[in-house]
Amino acid sequence: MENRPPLPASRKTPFAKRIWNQRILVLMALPFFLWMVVFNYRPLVGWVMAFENYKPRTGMFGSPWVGFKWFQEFLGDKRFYEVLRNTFAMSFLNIFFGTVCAILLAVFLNEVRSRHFKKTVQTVSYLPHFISWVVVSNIFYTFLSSEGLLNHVLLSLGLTKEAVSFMSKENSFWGIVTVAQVWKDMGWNAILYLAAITAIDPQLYEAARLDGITRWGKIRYITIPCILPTIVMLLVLNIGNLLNSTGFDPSYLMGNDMTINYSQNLAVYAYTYGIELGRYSMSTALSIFNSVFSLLLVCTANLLSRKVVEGGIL
Amino acid sequence: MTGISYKKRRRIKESWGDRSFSIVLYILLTLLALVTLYPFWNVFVLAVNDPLDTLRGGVYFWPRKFTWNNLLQILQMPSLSRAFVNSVLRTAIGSTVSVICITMFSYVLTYRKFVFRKLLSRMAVISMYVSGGLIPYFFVIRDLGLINHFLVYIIPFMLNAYYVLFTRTFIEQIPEELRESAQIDGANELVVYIRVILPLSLPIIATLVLFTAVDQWNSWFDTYIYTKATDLTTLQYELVKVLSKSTSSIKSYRDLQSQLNAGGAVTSTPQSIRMAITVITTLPILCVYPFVQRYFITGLTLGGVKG
Amino acid sequence: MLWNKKAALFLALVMVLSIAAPMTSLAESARPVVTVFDFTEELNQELINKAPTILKMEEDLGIDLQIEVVSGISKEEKMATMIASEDYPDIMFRVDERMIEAGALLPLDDLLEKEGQHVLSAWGGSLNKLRYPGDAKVYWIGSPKNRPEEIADAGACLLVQYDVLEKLGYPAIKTPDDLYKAITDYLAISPDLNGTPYIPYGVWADSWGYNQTVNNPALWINGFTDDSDAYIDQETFDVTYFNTTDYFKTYLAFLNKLYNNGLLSENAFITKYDEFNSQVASGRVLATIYNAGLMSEPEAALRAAGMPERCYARFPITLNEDVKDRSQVYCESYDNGVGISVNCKDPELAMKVIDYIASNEGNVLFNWGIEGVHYDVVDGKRAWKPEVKDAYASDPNYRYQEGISFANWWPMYVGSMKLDDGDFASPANKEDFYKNADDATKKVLDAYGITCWGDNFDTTGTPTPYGYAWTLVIETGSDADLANAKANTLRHSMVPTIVMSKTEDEFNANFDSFVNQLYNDCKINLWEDAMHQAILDRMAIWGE
Repeated sequence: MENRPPLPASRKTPFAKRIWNQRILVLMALPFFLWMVVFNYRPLVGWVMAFENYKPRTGMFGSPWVGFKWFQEFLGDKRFYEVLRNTFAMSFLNIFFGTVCAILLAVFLNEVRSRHFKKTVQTVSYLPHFISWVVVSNIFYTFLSSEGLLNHVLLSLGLTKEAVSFMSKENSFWGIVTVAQVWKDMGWNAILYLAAITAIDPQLYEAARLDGITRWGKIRYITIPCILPTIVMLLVLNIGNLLNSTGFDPSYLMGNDMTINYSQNLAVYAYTYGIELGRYSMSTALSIFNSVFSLLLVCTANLLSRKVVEGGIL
Repeated sequence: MTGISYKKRRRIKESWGDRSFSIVLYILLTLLALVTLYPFWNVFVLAVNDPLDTLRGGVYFWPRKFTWNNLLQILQMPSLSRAFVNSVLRTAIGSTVSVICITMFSYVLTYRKFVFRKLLSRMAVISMYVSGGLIPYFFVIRDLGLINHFLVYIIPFMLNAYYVLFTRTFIEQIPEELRESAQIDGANELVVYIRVILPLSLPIIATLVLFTAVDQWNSWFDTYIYTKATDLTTLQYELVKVLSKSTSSIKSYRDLQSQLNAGGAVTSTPQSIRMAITVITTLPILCVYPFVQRYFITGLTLGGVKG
Repeated sequence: MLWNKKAALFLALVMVLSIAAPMTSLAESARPVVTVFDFTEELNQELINKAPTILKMEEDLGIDLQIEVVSGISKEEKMATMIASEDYPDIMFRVDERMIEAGALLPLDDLLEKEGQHVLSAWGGSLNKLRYPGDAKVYWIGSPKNRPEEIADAGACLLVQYDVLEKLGYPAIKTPDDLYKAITDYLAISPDLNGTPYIPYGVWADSWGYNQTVNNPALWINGFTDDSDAYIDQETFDVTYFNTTDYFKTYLAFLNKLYNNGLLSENAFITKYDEFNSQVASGRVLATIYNAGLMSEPEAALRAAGMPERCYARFPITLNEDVKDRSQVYCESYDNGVGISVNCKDPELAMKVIDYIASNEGNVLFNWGIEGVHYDVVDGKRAWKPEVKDAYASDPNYRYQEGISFANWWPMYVGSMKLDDGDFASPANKEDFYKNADDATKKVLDAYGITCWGDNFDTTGTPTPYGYAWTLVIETGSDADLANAKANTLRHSMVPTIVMSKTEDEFNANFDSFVNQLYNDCKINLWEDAMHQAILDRMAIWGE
């Protein structure tokens, strides 16, 4: 045995051997693998409901098959496309402005030298995250109503001749809901970017200072490039979320009869024509559509991200 | 370099551009603070204003008819103490478990040579976008025997793909040499995780603690769907119950009509109570936040630890 | 390392806690346990578990009730998981046909014969009205409404501010034209409220406000009972979607007239419930056709703010003198009640519980409370003790803590109906109305020569042979049900446009386009057919 010559160095170690070499990593990962299988993948059995006419009485495996009936129903519904358009528009605006504002806030906070000021602004900025949408919608309605503060200011400055009821204008709904969402979550999302900024080596800043680079230059050449992997990663994940980024509450609570054609999104559609009518098959079909579409989006975004970050995120 | 001389030099070197940058920065951030603070202030004002008076509208900056009653009414809820204890327990235990699991799993995924790396990260990413719906998920919970069990608050929260991927990006930035040198010293991957990675990840741990704790603190749907015993009730669920006694949550005509036709008056949660609930939900987070905040506000950075 | 030690300590603590936390024990009970679910919108009803009236019932029946309350939040989801896992308690309050369709409920017919004597005697022939059209069996027992009742306050009706009436010398307002005149006359005398403009006619059309302030007023002024979305031919029972009819168009024309004369703002269609309540509570809404049951909070706010003259008088309103108001005619029909689940181990015992509540004794217990504790008998009549009355009015939890007059869907009489002993079933009856009214209200009541708002209304009209159309059951999730959901979305988006038309031609064109879309895009005819069938099915069962 001892005299056996060493194996010729193979280009690839055998799979079993590699696993054995990495046994500790494998053991560390195993519980999480199992967890994902049980909690994320096992419930997908429920997807069969999308192809049957599910009734609680007959259950998931006893209800009659209907093939693609539910998919045909929503794909053939005029309103569905209107709803899809609204969902895309609102989510796109939310992701775009939400990301930009959160990054700007984090970067700016990082530039503040006064510790007290920094702490205060940061604490205050995330407060709206905890206000529920019922209350947020209340605040916006009060502020934007024809007797509200905004109209009061506009009128007294002579910018408008008569009060405008902003919430009843179809074409301003997407803008208003975007402002509401950005305002609500900007501070909270900035926390992620702030955490990423803490990972930046201070020596870099020191070097830049010695080189006489301006503060704007430091942001541009150090802070942003250093948190770029985080930005790209979160952006890719958010793009995958394009169908869900604006949830049920903003659409349902901020919208009203006069803006309904521009406010209804997929979440509200799924509720109105699925759950509320007890049509679980329909809501499952919609959720499959949603999943497949989201995965396509996230894969595309990931491919694009390879140009910016080595290897992409997947 | 002492702090004083540093400051002096900075002052000399600060250019006109930098100074105007500072001014713009302070103005912008102050405006932002006001814009986000005012609505919350308004929420607080309404929470301490008389409910009937609030109904008339027009309360903006200062309570018109001050009262503690809204807050007291909530604090006198029958199962409040039980709910509070449960909420604290699930937040403390749940978020600790989550943070350990998330960091450990993210750490495993940072080994570029790990055989299952691709498989596991893809599983994690896909899991973010697929869901089987409520009923199949309910069956999973039931088959695991978690119905009516405290662990239903912990186990389903162990991982969160979004946080895992975010944490992975962070851990990837820790220089490879650090763990390699530890491994040369004979430490295995688990030891490296505990000895090297965890201490270097304090900012991200702080962030995770905050996010998972808030997730735990705010969740009520699991209490509602997966538990029956009032022993397991949580604060957020009790508050949502108060909140839901609002006719604005009525979506079906029939629900309303049957209530009205049975001769019952339909009452809703007064706005003040809703505001009081917002205050009560946010207060604990406001109290805990400063302790977490220092990890990403002060100069505790990777470089600092390294040096 | 300090950090490590601290962390280890903390972890150890967490582990101990996570093991200890689940160890909660339920008290064992010697008496048979009956588990109860109550699907309610009400808060804190869990308090009822320890209420003296519930304890008395437990004592009398020798059982131990465990009442759990499932509040209105995400009710669909809760029911879905309950049905999917077939995990039902013994008794369920406030269940409807969804539970029957799911096979969750036991038919009660045989059990009623054995243990339900009180239920049978209270219901008599009305029992047929509880039968499920699918198999003509009784699955749940509601709150009976089969005795004559004189109403104290109105439900949905015309509401006009006291001040408007007073300034105009208490005129008779019977038609939309009278109303229009009253509003304009009043505005001529009093153009604004301390500088803020009035909202001359209140409408909030968002969400369920559409039914309350747009759809239903059109029913009342045309002399219909609450058929909600259906117009029903009383001879053939053919159904037409009410929003497509000229009856409905007439009311829209009235709103259009108000709008074009600046008496209805476009804000009406974006106003939400909270906003509307605060408009009312600030005293700015002069008149509206709305459900008076929804006015209790804003009216309380008005009184608290010292503006009782801004509260509302209740009147019937019809298109012209020839149309007879039927808004308060009660059409006995039921849409939910208490049932026994298929999981119940001892259905006879569960039936005893239901029967106990339906008995005279149970009626008195759960409406009035315990004699000597909550009420006394004065001159042969039950009367709440003054402190009970005060606590009931001021503390919202009191009714649950004491278990008195807390639910109007339990199988007992409520309102001004009388029990077999000739006394009122519940404290909420007509006789107290004038006594409890404030001075401003009394003044208006006196001016019109009545003692309560109910006196303004004729409740003696013949009920429809099918009850209220809104209680009719259409298979959930069927094509007809879907058509109705689509129509609902459509009317929310189109009715504002119709009302805000500038000219009559535009108004007619918009309305025609609306009707067209209802039939062509929403296929509302499917719903019309299904409703027609549901009426015929129901009448067949009721006729037995």
